[in-house]
Amino acid sequence: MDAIVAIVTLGALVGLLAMGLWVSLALLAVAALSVTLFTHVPMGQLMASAGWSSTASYPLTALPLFIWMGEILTRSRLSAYLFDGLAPWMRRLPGGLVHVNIIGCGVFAAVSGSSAATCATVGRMSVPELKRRGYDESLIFGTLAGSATLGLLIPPSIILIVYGVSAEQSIARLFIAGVVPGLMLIALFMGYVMIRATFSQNLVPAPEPAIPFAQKLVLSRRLIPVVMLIVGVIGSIYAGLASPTDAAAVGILLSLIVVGLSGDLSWATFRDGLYGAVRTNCMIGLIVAAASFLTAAMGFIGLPANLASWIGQMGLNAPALIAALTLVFIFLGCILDGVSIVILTTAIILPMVQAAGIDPLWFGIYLVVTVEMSQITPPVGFNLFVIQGMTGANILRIARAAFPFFLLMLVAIFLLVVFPGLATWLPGAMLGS
Amino acid sequence: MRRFLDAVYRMAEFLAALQVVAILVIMLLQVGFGLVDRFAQTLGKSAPGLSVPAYAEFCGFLLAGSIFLGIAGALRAGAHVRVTLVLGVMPSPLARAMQITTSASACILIGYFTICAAEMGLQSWQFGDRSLGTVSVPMWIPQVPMVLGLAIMTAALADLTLTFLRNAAPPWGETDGYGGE
Amino acid sequence: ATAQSWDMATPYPEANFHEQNILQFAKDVEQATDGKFTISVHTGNSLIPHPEIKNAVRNGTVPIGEFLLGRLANESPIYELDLLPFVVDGYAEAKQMWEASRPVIEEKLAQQNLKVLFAVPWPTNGLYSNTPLDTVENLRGLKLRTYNATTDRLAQLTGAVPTQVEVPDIPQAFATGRVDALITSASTGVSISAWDFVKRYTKVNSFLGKNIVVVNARMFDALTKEEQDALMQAAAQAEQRGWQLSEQNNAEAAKTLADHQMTVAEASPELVEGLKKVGAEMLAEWKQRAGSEGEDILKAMGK
Ligand code: NA
Ligand code: NA
Repeated sequence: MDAIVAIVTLGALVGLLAMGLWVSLALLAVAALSVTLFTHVPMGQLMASAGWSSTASYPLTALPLFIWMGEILTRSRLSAYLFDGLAPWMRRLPGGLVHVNIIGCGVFAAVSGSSAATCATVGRMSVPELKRRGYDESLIFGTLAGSATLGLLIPPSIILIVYGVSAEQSIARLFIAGVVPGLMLIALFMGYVMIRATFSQNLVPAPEPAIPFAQKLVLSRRLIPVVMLIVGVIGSIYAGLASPTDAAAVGILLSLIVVGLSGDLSWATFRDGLYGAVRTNCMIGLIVAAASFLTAAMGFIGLPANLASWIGQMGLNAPALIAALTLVFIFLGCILDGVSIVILTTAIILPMVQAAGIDPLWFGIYLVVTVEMSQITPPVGFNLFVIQGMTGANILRIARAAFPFFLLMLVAIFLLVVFPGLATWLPGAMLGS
Repeated sequence: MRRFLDAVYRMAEFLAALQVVAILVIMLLQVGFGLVDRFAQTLGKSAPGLSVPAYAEFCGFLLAGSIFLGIAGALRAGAHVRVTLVLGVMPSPLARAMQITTSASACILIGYFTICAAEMGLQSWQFGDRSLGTVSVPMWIPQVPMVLGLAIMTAALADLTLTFLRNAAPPWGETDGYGGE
Repeated sequence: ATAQSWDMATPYPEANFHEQNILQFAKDVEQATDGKFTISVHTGNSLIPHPEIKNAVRNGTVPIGEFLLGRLANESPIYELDLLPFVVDGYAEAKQMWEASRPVIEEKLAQQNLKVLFAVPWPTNGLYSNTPLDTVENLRGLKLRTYNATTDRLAQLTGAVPTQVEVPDIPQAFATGRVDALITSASTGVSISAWDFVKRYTKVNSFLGKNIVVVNARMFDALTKEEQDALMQAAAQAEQRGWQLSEQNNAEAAKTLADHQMTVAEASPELVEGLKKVGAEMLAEWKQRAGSEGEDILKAMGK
């Protein structure tokens, strides 16, 4: 039965997407189909209530606001300034300014709890600049898609909150536990880019001419507005003035001020930025609504839960259990988003994880790194949708560009298994055990 | 008819944008009130404790309204993502047939969604469902924009199907093809 | 008769005593019907999110579900009664309140096609803070987390600054000083690991909010007599067991907080007296809103 459900669902989804049906509509259709075929639930009512409750959501409001912030910044000289200021310092680094994608996502992840918002905001600033400077498109897309998943791991993080609530784990501890693995992923991504850039010269443009140190410093002044912006937004959270969601609004206000001061703000840029953000937000919002309908469908059918308990019945030891779960999460990650996977499986998985003697705090971090991968695997990967919406490039091409980063996350999981202290040491050191 | 429909799409998208602005304003007010409290306490005065009542819930309502009111405009702008790999390699009569099929079935699906959402709103009204937060709001009120937006999306998809049937260019322009690649 | 299998939507994680009680309830139903009637319990919002559960049961998306009764406070003041501070002073009076208000609540929910099975209270509420709270005066100026009209009014009357913080944001809000005080049960404090961000828990035994379990009335009517009986009997047992579990949990949770180096303090008489004054004022306001229906409930409780 589960096999039939999986084949029908995935088959219908791939088929409808190949037909050229919009992603949101394809998800909606597949969810409607599977509810009708495999459950006795009144389908229409579930569709309406899933659509309503997933979009009438306060934490989700950070998404349009952060996208809007990206739209404002990209319409100003600020993004060019950011790269001008960084270029002289990074010219010797193999991979050059592509690292801005990775570090930019890492920094922005400390502001935003979502991966899609990180992808949209950083990408809106970096993609046009990197393209203009002649960087390879697939390297740009790959680093952006991969690094934006850090939004989930580096605190604040919506998915760690969801896990913390359903596993009754301390959210404060989980947040701290995400920091070191987050930095490790950044290091892995940067290391990969350096190696790639060293071996294939055509991925990055020729290094810009060397300039004297004093001139470097002068150019660095151009970084000041962006740095102030970042400090302001992060500061508003850590000074206790804004919740992580409200910080998005602070970000827009500060962006408008900075852009206004630099003389780039006009009614037209304001309006175009707003409408651009609204369109992207509506595209993602409809996918969110449809995806939550599919999640509800999967909840009623019980496919994720059955898969999880099937693994549980195998009576595996801890490393084998983790390996098997990783495969299940990768499969589920193709059709569901990360938060949904956590919601649908935690109740079943947690008891077996604890029975195998695995620390639930460590498991939360493992889980987030694993479901991060779902953001960049087709057919349903939110980061892929964001980048397609932003650049018009095809989803499959973006997914191919992101594939090495998928593999790097697998490496990260391996490292987490071998060195569990990567996740558990810092929270123990900071909060006591 | 053309001008009427275009005006409807534009109006809906304008309302969607307005709701995003409203979210921004509410949040900034909330952060501002917090700042006032902090400032008062630093000066050793008692905090006035102002806040936007039920602001998180209202932001959620505005977001849902904004998303659904804006989806038709996003469709017209070619912002909804899709995979155009197969469409791109098809001979053009077949590609056209696929375009017609997909937009017609999308129209039916969203039409059905509209009816279900309307039923949900109707039930909220009949049973007197109320919001959860500090301010008591009948739930059907924030659900109206959702129904309205879905109805306009249905119209936009019917509009698009007719466009393809007439073999005319889609509203997002012919150059960038299918809203993708 | 054919086998009957129901999905049940519940909001809290499986480890929570409410959900443990419900899992036992499902087992009891299965046993009483020799496995012909099974209820599969989906905990932690995994099937339907909390705000939608009531409506999902009403329209038959799920036949049975659990939710926090006080969430309906905006629909009628009757639902708000168990959230008012110091109307009851413990489990015995809370039980009286439930018995007195049950007919009215059953009648109101029946209008929404919902049949009440049972209700179980959360352990009594206390105040979480980093500073000692010896009198109501100590609350003045503290940023108290509020989430509905009742807690908002409580903050106003005590001179606290009402601050809206969503549940998942609580740890960060404490850490960054966006909020200074929280009113909730010891049990909830344990499930959010309160010791990681706040130092003190002051037991004020102010109110016992309830979770309620309801079924879709039409789907209940469609059950066989045997199935209905099994369900109702298991429900009666679950209610009794749930109240005991709640009381046990109350003591254990406070001990868990203390085990994690939190200062667990009994409320001082001054604090209780001050809060009771506030409670009396809120009850007076509630009486005006709730009219004769409310009057009757209070009378039945001997208040
Ligand atoms: Na983050
Ligand atoms: Na995916």
